[in-house]
Amino acid sequence: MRKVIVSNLVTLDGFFEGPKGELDWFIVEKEFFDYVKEMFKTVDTILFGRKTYQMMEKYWPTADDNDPTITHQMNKLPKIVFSKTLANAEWNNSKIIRDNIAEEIHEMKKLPGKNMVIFGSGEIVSFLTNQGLVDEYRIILNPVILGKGNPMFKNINEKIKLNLINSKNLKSGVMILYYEPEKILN
Amino acid sequence: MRKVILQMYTSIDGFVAGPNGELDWMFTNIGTESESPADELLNSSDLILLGRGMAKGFLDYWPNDKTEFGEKINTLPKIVFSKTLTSMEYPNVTVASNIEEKIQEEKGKPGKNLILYGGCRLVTSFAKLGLIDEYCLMTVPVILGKGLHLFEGIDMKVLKLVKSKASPSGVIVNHYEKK
Repeated sequence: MRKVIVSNLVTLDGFFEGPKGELDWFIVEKEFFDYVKEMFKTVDTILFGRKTYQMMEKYWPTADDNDPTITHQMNKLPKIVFSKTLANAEWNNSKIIRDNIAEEIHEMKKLPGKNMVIFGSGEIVSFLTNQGLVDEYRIILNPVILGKGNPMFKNINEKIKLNLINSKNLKSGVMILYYEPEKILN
Repeated sequence: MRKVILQMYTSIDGFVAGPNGELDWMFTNIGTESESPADELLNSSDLILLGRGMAKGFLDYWPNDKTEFGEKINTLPKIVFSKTLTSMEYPNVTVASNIEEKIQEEKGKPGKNLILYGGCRLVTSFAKLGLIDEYCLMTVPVILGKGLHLFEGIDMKVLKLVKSKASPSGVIVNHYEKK
């Protein structure tokens, strides 16, 4: 079955963006790009919440300061944005899903195909986490303390125990931690 | 020179305790393996630093622990930082109010490292003042969703990862230094 994978850069204090969505603290270099390129071989759909989608649709179509393979994939791959309010999704190969997110994801997982990845999108990550619909978390731990920002996990109903299935140390001091959820704890 | 070393368990989402200071998630997930770097860090230290909020619980708990590790904790001198107390009725405990002055004074003396065990507010004050030389952060494979946050409100810091290890129970032990 297709997996839903969350792949997010986070700080040591658990934020995935600054208070105003700042991403200037990202530590990205060749090894990180290699990780993303490898991952793109295993996914055929990118999932977004509205805020991350709107930020990325402004950046990627004209990005000239990023890895060309990644830029190409970001623009080419099918994208789904979950939003009740977004009027249009103009970025190449995008589709809006407005309702029944959990059911839609559940159905998509049953379809043949590669995995689906979520970038950013804290609210969707938290929602799907509560629904038990995330199959794998890739926490890209940056050696940074932000002090303030937006947490990736918000309004989580229950503690969730994860299993560490793999970890990678990058020379930059970034760690990629691969986790699978185990069970809901009480 | 003596270093100030922070040792802290955190959840994947960056919490160090539940909303009411709960630590059960930590104890149920780190197992009993002798994986924790706590012993090594304690052996490299000869002074324990505590915040007032957690000091009483800490000082009441450890005398009951008869392990070798517990013995070390019990015999080492401790400094409790408090703006309101002037003394605490526990053996080997002194109380200090000015963090910067006290740490400067202690670092000027010969000796081993100073180990900072918390709590949350004291650690944040230390980080704000730039007084932490080494951060030993142990990431427990749990999403808590809510709780007490370390480093709240400090200015952004980029650290240097110097050592990293994954334990069999999935705890990631990372040592970071000030850049």
